[in-house]
Amino acid sequence: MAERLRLALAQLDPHLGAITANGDKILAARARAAAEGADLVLTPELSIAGYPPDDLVLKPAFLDACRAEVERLAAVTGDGGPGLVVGAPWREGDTLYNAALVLDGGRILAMRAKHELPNYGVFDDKRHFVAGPAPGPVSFRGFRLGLMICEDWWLPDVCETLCESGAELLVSINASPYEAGKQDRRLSLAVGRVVENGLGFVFLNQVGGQDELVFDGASFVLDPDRSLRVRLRALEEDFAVAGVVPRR
Amino acid sequence: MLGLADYVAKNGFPGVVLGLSGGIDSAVTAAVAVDALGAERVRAVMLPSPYTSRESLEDAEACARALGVRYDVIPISEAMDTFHRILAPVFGNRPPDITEENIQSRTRGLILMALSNKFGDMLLTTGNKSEMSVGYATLYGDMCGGFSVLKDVYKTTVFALARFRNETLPRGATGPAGPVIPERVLVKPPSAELKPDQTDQDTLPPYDVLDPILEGLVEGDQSVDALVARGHDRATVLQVWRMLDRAEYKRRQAPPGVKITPRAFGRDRRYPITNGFTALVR
Repeated sequence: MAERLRLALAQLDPHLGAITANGDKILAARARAAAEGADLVLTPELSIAGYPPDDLVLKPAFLDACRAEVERLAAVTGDGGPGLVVGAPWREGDTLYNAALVLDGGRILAMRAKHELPNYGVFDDKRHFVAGPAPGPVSFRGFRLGLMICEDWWLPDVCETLCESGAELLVSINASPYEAGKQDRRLSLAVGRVVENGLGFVFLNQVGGQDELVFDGASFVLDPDRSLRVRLRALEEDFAVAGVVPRR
Repeated sequence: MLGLADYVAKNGFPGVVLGLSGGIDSAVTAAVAVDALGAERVRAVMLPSPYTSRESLEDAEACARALGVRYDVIPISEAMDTFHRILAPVFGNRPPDITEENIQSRTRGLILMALSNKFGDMLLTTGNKSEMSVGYATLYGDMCGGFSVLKDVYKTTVFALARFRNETLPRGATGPAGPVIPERVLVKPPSAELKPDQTDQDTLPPYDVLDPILEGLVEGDQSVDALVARGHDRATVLQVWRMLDRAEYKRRQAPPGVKITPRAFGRDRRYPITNGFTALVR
């Protein structure tokens, strides 16, 4: 088992609702990640749909199309190349989650539902989604990943739960909109999570404009010693492969 | 009536002003305003253009007289001519199109807003939910206004409301009893009268076809297949779906109005303007 996990950070600009085009964009990033020897490709929160989809998720036809696209991408991972983390609105029975799907080996390996649903400011997650249970780590190729969605890491509880249940690395996929001073807040908060838990931390953000919001990207990886391992560009699509050493 | 009366009273407006076109939407809006506020607080204005029919002029005046409101006629031909003249050097030899129709609508909007400013009355916009669903309205033109009485009322319901009001004086209404909307307004084909011999059905499916499709898409969140299974024509459903999605930017800039359906535009239906799902719908 390799000690080092090679994580590809695909900081993408989705076209909200253009599900197939978003899936193709994710596959293009995965092809690049494969060429660079990555094990796992991270894409932003709701990367299949684009964020925020608002009341589009009330349409069953929209949810069906998202699920079909996730299944298409899952099948592609049967080629033995890198795994994928994608975001999609995900229905289980009558419950709709804001989900992160881990795709590997041709199937959906794991699903984690967003636990903290923001409903302040521009956010309206509780209108559409049900909060998932406090998540446990995802086992991916021998690593235990603490996979979170955006708001999950802005509060301390989910990171702490993941750490206590054996996560070796904190990984967050985000759709975090720009406002003045936001990146400083993200960085200082992320450093706090690293210190509290003694784990490395990955922040992968969406980039691009969606109506009145601009998502600014600026994704980063912090090592357990708080040093900045990787920093992606702000306000444009970017891609990087980072070798991280999860805490064993 | 209560929604409009409270909006006007609690926001401190002396009254309302609206454009009376001779069509059914403005007639019903005027009737609701008079019933809610009293005729002395409602001011109606007819803004005829060269495309305004004699019937519309007569119907607008008859409606204003029946409701007992102040009624002014302000022809807009001169203003339209001036716009066309000053734009001609820049437009060059481009043929007339929807641009000129919108100039007509916006000329009316500008004049109505001037009246609102000068007298302090709030401008009522007169569009209905069917039009706003598919974007059959001019931004900064007939969409001007502080409040929309029919915002959440489909066109087929507007007709039903008109018939109801002609037969029944609602409880608490301060308007006159008896018919207030000329019969001809109820039977003539709806038209924006922005060019010669235009009717709404040049651009839109008939309202008795359009409205059930809209209810399926907006209130029911139904798929194209589900609506086709209910007997609707697939091409029409797809056309309506596209128009509905494309008009989101107009609705985002539309005045508020009272919710009456299970899903009103506004805080009840929060849609992205930038929406790539539209192109995927087959």
